[in-house]
Amino acid sequence: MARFPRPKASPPPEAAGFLLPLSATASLLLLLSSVSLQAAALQARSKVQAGQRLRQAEDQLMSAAQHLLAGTATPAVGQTGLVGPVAYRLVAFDGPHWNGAPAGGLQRGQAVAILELQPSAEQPRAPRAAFGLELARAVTPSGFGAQQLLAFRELGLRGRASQGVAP
Amino acid sequence: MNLVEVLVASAMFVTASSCSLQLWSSGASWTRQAEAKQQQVAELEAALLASQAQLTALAGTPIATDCTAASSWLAAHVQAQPAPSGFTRQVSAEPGALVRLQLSAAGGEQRQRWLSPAAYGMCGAAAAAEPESSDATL
Repeated sequence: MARFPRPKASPPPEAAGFLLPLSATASLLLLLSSVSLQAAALQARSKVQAGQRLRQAEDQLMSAAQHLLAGTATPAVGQTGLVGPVAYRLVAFDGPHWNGAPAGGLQRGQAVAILELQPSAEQPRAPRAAFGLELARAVTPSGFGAQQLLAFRELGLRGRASQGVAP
Repeated sequence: MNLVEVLVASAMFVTASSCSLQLWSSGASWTRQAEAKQQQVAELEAALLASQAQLTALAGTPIATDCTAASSWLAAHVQAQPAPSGFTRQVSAEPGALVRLQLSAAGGEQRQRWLSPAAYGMCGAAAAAEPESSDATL
């Protein structure tokens, strides 16, 4: 500007094009901010859906465990079953570990079962969960009676890497 | 600065801002929907666990020697209890001595579980054993 002085009467040619870039920058900023907000909303939605899938897997595993234990208190590893639309497999069964002292002619014991759902199109990675079992068996002078399931509870979902059965 | 530049610049700005407003409002409504859904899912979970607790509150209490009879009794027993508000509950006895518990919300969300009276020591030949304290609510 100093090197090329111009008459004050007409506006400098550099100043003529300032409105277009300004508007372009402002538009770009507006669009970028709204797109990022949209992306955040989409992410929240997919998170809700993922949570729902996880809960569904939990439900299915719980149903599978109930179905399995309705049949027998000591299932065989590798046993499969079908309850409603849910196909499952018993991956591991640890126990029963009987407590030392029988109280009132009844001995208590614990066992842990790990169940796995069959992978489906919806869930290619089959979820698995562990369940803790409370068992009891009658102690008579002649030996032990048949064992019986008293209660069981969910120990939570298990990852693929955890092959162990410890709760 | 001429008229054409002013016109083009303002048209660009107006288009961009209306576009962004639209995106912004749809994003906001999606967020709101996701929040509402999340809350509904949480309520559904609570209702499901409450219904399951009603079912398993009797854990260790022998109901019947025959597990199929026990499951139909249990289904009728839970059905008689008041349903959680805002949800529709379906309890039915299923083949294989199971009780199917299904809860659905108005928004289309639903959860279902199959429960077995045998797994809680409510039936079977050895069901005459002593009652178990209720740490089996889950």
